[in-house]
Amino acid sequence: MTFAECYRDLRPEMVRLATLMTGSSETGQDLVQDAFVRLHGAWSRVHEPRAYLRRAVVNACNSHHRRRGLERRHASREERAPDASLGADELADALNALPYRQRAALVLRFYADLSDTDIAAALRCRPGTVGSLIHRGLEQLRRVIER
Amino acid sequence: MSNLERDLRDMLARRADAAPMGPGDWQDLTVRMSRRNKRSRRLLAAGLVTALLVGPLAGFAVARAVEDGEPAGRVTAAGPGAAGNGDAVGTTEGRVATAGAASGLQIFMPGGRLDKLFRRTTGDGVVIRAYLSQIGGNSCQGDGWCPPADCFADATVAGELSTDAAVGYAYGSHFGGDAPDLRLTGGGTFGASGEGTPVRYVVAQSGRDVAKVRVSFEGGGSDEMAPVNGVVVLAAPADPSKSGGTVEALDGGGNVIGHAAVTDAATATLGIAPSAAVPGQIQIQSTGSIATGSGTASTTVTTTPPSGVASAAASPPVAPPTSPDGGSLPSRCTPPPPSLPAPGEQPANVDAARAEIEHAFATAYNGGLGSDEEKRAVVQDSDALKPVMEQIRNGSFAQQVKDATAKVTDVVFTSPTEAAVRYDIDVANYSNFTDRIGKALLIDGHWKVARVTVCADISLAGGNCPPA
Repeated sequence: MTFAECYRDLRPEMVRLATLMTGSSETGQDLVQDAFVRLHGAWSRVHEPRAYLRRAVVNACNSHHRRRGLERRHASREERAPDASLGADELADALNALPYRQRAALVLRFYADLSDTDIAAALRCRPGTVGSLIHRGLEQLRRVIER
Repeated sequence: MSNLERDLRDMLARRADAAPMGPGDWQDLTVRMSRRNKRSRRLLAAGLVTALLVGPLAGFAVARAVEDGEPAGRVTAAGPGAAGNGDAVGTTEGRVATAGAASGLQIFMPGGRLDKLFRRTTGDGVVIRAYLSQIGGNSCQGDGWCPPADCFADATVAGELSTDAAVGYAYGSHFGGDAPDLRLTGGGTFGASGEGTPVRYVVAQSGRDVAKVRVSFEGGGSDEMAPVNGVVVLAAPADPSKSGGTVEALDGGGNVIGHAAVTDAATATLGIAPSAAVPGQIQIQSTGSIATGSGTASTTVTTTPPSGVASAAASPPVAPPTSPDGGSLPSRCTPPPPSLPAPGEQPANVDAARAEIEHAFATAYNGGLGSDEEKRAVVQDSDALKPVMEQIRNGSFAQQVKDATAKVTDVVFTSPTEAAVRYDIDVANYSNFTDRIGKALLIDGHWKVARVTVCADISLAGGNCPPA
């Protein structure tokens, strides 16, 4: 597979993942472009482009979240505006309202179908913590939905 | 799985599919790659400059301190600003250019390797330093097919532009092969309110017969120069409220032998006039960024390729075989379709075998790979592949897997028990995967879709087959 084929074949999948992780398709596309730049820099050493990209995208989403957190500390707290292009959805809104790590864990589990070990590696936490994040995230979603 | 988990999974899949995708943006990717290289080189260059400055100064200060009987720790090192106001500081690869005109602001222009093309000052006082940065990489495909050199960018033209009020970068692409008389490869505007009149620029590549290239921006402002290694960077202060302009290529006798239109001043979109359209001429995206003493702003320049002209020709280092953003590449820039192998010994009943293979492919793919026993029966090693087939039927591309249909377009028997198959997979409302080459095998008296073929198609839907 050439880099161009990789870009053509894997970009949609990665954009979807990043969009769900960040809640914004625009941000998702931007982060995925950066992930492909990183992949290109390591292309000769990468044997599993999909796994590398997924890791790069998740890392980029983590960094993006940290940056946003810093920005919010220096500015008045603003409501997280859902991406209008994705349509309204009560469950989606509840998911977007979750703390980032809970949301990321749920997306990686229920969208990307990653194992606890892989999610732990992506979020840089212990596998046991993943179970807790998912449990608390689901509980929070359940409370919101049943409210 | 609880209802909530199922709802969550469905919602995520729905929203993922609803995410606006937009075409991939190769030029944006190329620009980002270039910037990444610059950052790496910038760190290297800054480290070298710091080492070169701090080392001698520290040694000198230490010597003075010891001489004066002072403790050696009380040394103040000179900062990077002490580099002075010289035009350029050379490094092993790339240069760190300082812009004395912008309040001491340093503009870094390192790249993969920057080869200086020229330095010139326009009649309006715009100083242009132009460099060529080779992209490198290999545009050949795995099967050995290589595109013509003029199909893909082999280098980036990087220009540093400055006036007495602002400095900025200009980027364009450089294509291999014989250039047409005139090919615009980049353009933009730099400078903002408060920094005097904005400067518009164009980057172009010219052919051997071109002695001079000139630009006239609508509303005033013009520039001209003789190409250096076939490259020109033209710039002039221009009225930003006006759009348009013309670039002309002149031969040694002063005759115009090619021209192109610059359109849309707001975004500095470049357009090639029909009269200048030469097969292979290419328009690209380019980014011009400005740096001021207080910050940096950027302008993205978007171009629209003329019909039949490659929009993705400003390629990444590994050249694309097709335009990933949906643009159409000239046929000579795209690899030939994969070919089937030569026929070998034929089965006893070729027509029956061909019909069974066509049936096997249609049965296997139509309506969801591996979703029932009949579909699995026509796939080699289907027991081992059952989990992954189930995974993709329920994964992110579940709808696409369900909507897919396969149609065999050609079969070549390479032996009585093996056939190479050309086939198309059509995914309704999604994409078509045409001219795929797969394999069918005669197993236990029945023709089946080979495991290797199914696994290649499963990977399209994000699945990975277990080891054979």
